[in-house]
Amino acid sequence: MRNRRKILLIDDEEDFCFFIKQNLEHSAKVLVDYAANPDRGIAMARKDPPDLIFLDVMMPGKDGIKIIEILKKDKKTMSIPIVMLTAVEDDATKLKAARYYCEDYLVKPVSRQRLEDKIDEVLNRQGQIRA
Amino acid sequence: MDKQKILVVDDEAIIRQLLTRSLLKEGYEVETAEDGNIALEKAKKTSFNLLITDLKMPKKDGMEVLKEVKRTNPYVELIILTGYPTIETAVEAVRIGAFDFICKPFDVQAMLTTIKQCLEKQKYQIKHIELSELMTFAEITRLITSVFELEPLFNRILDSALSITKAKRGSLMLIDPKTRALNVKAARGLDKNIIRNTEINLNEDISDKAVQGKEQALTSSTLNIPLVSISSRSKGNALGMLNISDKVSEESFTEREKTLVFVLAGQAAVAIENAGLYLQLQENIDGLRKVIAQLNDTQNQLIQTEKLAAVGHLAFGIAHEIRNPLGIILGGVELLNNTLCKNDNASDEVVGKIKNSIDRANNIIVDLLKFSRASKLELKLVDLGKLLDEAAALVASRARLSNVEIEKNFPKENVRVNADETVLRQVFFNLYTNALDAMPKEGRLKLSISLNGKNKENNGKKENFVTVEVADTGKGIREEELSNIFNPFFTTKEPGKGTGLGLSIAHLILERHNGRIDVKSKVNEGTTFVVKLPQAA
Repeated sequence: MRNRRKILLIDDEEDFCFFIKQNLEHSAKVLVDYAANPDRGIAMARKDPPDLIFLDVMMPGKDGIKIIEILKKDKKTMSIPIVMLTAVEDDATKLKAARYYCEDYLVKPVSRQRLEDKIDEVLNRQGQIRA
Repeated sequence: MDKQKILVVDDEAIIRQLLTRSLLKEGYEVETAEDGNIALEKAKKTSFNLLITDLKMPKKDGMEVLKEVKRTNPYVELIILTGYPTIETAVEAVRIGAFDFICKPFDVQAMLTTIKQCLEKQKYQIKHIELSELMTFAEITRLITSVFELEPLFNRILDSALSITKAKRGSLMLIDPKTRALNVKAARGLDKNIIRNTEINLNEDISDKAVQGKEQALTSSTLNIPLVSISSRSKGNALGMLNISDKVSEESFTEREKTLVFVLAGQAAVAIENAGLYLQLQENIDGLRKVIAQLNDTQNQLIQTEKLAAVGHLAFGIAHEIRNPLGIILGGVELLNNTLCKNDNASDEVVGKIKNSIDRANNIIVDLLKFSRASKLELKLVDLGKLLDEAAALVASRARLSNVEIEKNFPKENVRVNADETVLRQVFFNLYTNALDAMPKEGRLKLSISLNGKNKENNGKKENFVTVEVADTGKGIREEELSNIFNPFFTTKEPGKGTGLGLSIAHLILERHNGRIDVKSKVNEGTTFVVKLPQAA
């Protein structure tokens, strides 16, 4: 059996992270780790780089845009595809995220199906590029 | 003081010599004539105070001479000297206003006393006439300077000049500063066609000389007086011309009349200049009023923009604070559905309803965020027909499914407006969606664009408006609901089918485009939304 894909979710809403983890892992296709603290999230990405990161924008301490900047400058994490998953919907934030080659921008609330489709789409694209 | 001038007319040289000697001694200026014709010649050249004449003379009778001199110089005094007095000549002399009727031979001393009395009387009479003329003139000047509208002023100046000179015909002409031609501005006693077609270039006739030279150009029966203002503003240049002719009495204009009209022309020029300044001031004031209106308009728009920005800021905050818990609820419901209640139809239905409620709540946020976007419009020239087509394409498949026919009636030429394309397309998409909601089974959606011409809708400014009508043949809206239709959160749709923000957003967006939206509706016949937008130049 193929290895389950590793997803890292960085979001300060812990309940949200818990439900996403439970829902996505239910299909047995992915493994989800999550961090409700931005610095912890960065550390986890560096220590064990995931296949994809879902990243919130508005968080205490460091916002999502700052986090992408850090991860994209770090050799260990720069190739990890990042999808913004946030309640913030404004053009300026979307533009900033796009400037750091963020893969996509999803606005909450998002159904499990949509998340699974997005994971498949991004990782397949990623696989094609690597192949 | 000038010497008083006396003309002695007699065919007897001895009488002429006697009177001349005596009168010169008294300090008078004397001229003589031996017959009527010479007398008339001299009277034409000099304005005499007194005419002493014999009656029976060769060539021309003394009475004729008197009548003719009196006609050109009404103030001249007359003394008749005759060797053949008759009742008839005495009556005639009184009739033409002779001061005395003296028979030859006469006593020189008595004659001198009569002359003295006569000239004293004339002096007071002239002073009296001058005073009354001056009073009339002062009143005329006061009237002229109290008129600030140009046309009534022109007419009053001309009427005053005609009244002073007792003339029937006249015109007032002004120089057009651009073409340098004289145009008639007021006229009396002239044919309308002449007035309309008269435009004299400043090289053509007597007017030219008068205006250029600023001299009083005179002919015997016509006065052409330049209108030269004494103010420093005009720098002594003539503004135009006052032309007077045809005295009622068919006589020539007197020196006195010429002088008065000349002075009047000077006053009139100042009055015309002042009226021009007044008009200019009025225009400036009107301009200022417009600027103030525009400032108010801009201020209101700024306030509106500020308000919208505040709503936008609030909407942004609300969106974040509500979407997070919505995300948690959706995640939680999906988890429950997957783990606890699997394959249970009843719980699937409950989960479905919760998900629908999450969508409803989220749609309100989506619409609220549209409010915030209306605060930062990006205006550019937009082809309205194309934009309506694009919005129609978005609902085309839904219209087909509901058997709704889309009818378009657009003008052949492109109609352009200054608009934020995305936002305006959204407005029409909303209107089409509402129309389709009102026609679930079948119907007709009619879209039309028409050009209205001038319309005073925007703050008194005249602008060309474009009208777009979006009409459906649906169930219509009740009258009591129509007045609320643009209020936020008001909806006639079933719960969950609409947020009640679409039309209030449309209203706001069109207001931000200096346009407006109105609605008319009849139950069971249909609803028409009428959108008006300023047409781009």
